[in-house]
Amino acid sequence: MTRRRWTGIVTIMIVALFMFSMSACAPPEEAEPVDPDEVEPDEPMEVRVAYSADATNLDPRLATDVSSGLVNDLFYDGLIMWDAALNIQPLVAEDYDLTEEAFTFYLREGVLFHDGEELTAEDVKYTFDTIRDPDFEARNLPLYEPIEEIEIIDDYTVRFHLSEPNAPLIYYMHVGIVPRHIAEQEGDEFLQTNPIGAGPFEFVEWSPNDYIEMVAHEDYWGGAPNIDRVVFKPIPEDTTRRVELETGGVHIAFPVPPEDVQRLKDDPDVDLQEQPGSGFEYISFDHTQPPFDDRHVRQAIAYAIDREEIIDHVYWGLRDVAYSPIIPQSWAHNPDVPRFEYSPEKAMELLAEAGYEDGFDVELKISESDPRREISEILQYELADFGIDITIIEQEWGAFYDDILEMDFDMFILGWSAQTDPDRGVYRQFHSDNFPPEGANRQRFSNDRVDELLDLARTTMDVDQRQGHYYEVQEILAEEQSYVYLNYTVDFCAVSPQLQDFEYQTYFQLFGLKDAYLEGE
Amino acid sequence: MSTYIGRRILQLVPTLLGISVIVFVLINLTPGDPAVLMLGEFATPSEVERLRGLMGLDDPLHVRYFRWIGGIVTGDWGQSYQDRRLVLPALVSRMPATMELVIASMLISAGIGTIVGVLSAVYQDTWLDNVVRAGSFLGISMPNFWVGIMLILLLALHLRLLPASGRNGLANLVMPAIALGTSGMAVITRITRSTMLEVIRMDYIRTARAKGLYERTVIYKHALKPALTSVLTVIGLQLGFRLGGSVIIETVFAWPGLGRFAYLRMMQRDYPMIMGNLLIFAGLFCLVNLIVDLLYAVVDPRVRYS
Repeated sequence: MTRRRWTGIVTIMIVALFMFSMSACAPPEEAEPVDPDEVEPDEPMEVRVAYSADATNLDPRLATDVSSGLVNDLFYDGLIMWDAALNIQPLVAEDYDLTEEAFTFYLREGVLFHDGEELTAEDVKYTFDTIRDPDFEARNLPLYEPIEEIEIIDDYTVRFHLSEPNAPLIYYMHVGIVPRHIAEQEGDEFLQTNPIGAGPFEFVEWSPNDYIEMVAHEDYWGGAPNIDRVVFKPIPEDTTRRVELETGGVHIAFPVPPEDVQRLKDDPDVDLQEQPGSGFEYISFDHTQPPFDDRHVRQAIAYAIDREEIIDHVYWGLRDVAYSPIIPQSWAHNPDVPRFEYSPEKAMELLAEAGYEDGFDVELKISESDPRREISEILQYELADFGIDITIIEQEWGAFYDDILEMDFDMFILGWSAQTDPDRGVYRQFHSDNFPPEGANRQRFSNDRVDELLDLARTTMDVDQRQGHYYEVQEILAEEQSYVYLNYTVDFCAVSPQLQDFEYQTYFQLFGLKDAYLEGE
Repeated sequence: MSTYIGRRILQLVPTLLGISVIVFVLINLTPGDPAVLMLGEFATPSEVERLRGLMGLDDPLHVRYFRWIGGIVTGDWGQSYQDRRLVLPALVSRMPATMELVIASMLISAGIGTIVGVLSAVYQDTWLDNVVRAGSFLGISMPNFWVGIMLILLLALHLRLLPASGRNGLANLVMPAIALGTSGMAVITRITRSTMLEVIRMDYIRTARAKGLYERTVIYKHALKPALTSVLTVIGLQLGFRLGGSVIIETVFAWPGLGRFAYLRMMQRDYPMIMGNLLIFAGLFCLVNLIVDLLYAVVDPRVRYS
């Protein structure tokens, strides 16, 4: 073969490789950042949102991650939702009756799915029946186990018969209602990538890891949104997300890392919105082995740690010290529990009382995370003053989680998030029926009174009575220091001032987009 | 020639099979049960067992390997654990973005690196050479994600010249390609310089000069071509680094390619996707090295394939 022919073959191979790479390069349609002065009156109003991770599943019955949840909130309306203080608000159900035997929902008339069909009790029953079907493999199936049967009273009334009283169940009724006719025609898997709901925005396109596009649902029962189109762009890198907002590439960017908060607060071209988070961070202990089987030692750790200092160093002073497993904005939060504020003297006294005046050696396990590593190092430094020698073991998440489930730890740091009804978090973390692997009581905390109160709070429908039960639970947990609570989370969302009437929320984070508009358009 | 290409392609088969064994074993021996991680906090042991059964995780490792590799050969690369998407179409749809980025970064690093390396050798020990040497040292030392973030801050935020993220045209390609190509450019500069310095001291170059040839002809016709053989080797090897580097760079620039996809799926313990992704990376690496081997004959007439 001649060299010329040879060169030709190689050139063709390189060109083919390049052509292949360019062949599917058709870029998604995307408008340039909008200058309000240049906008024509009839130009579509497009809002672009940068969030940290792409959605994984657009079927609300199956999705459990935050990103899928906030996108699905715009595609699908559920029976109810809740406000920042966790008070239930009607959505598709305009009213409801809750008794120990059954929950009855009265649906709005004229609620239309994106395909124009009306949402009825049939769709509600279908949505929850599929979740309850083990073959459907919904991860949240155990939450719906108290439902015995779903009865359609008429087109606009549906009743959930319960096998046992279950007050927190109302908080699990927010799941977006899916259209039965579509699921049956196209198969249930269809909705995972082609969402059709009755929410304020209709699905257009999902290019995984690239963008999700939606347009206003003109027949939305609550009134058509002002915004014509919303494009979600997953941008994992914090700096890139922030720059996209600052350069007008997007109108909303979140989450905002703590190190960027001050800079964005000072920027007149950014509206930095802050909301209390839905979680907390804590240190957990192995309650079954010395030294942490003795509550005096756990209390001593609580006194020995300067949690304000941790927040200042690790979270730039942006979080509040935690002292209870129920978040402060919840109706069930007890603000008057013992707080075990920083007191080295009391810590030393308690350690001496427990027989550990010379300290002890322990392992502290954490999953890979910069803040957790910093917290661990501060703990290691602070507790060394008491003779407590901490070995920090940082593990990849899978290995860490395995160890936690198998109880291979002395102490670990973890967080609990997405708290709604207190039952969901507190029952699973502190009831003695919930030891791993079934439950999340990983420290093996066991207290008969707490078990009794948690059972009562679960089965009592009266909110005031439930609040009383949770108040007492929090007092016992604080006294026992089953966890040493570190801080309550806080959420920040950076918004372009162009976007008006939008308020970021702790729950249903971007649902406010239905009422927002772009200034000058 | 065609016999040679055919033989080389055949040689890829055992290489890729070996890689597939390593990929499969490493991924499947990672701590953490994917069924537990998938089902999350509410999973009961019976549900975990059921899912493990459905995912085929209860079978011995070798049985699972042969099932997987059998599927790979027949085009059934399996389904995502996370969102049940088919693996092969999901990966193929992301391949163009990564190829585009890698090729652009290779063009930048090979083009600039070779020219600068030649100039540095020709003007050895001048200010130009010193600047190039210092610059290439800096280029090798800077992590590519840091270069990426600096470029975003400079070109997107302060100068407002380029978009910070996404893949909507050529403007979006510039920063990630530079970030991905910087260290490679530095390596190619250094290799080109040192090889050129060796070549231009050879007798035949002295002869060429003695014959009165223009210096440009001596350098570009007689010295550069032999020097390119070792540069080509480096370029081929660099591709592996580029594919690895794309994981970070695609994440920084929200570039919707295979690298970012690999990162995401690793976080989610999506074994079928990760294994498919790694296999494609390995395949691309082998393919480009084959092309580089064939290019040797183009730049060096002494090379013959039979």
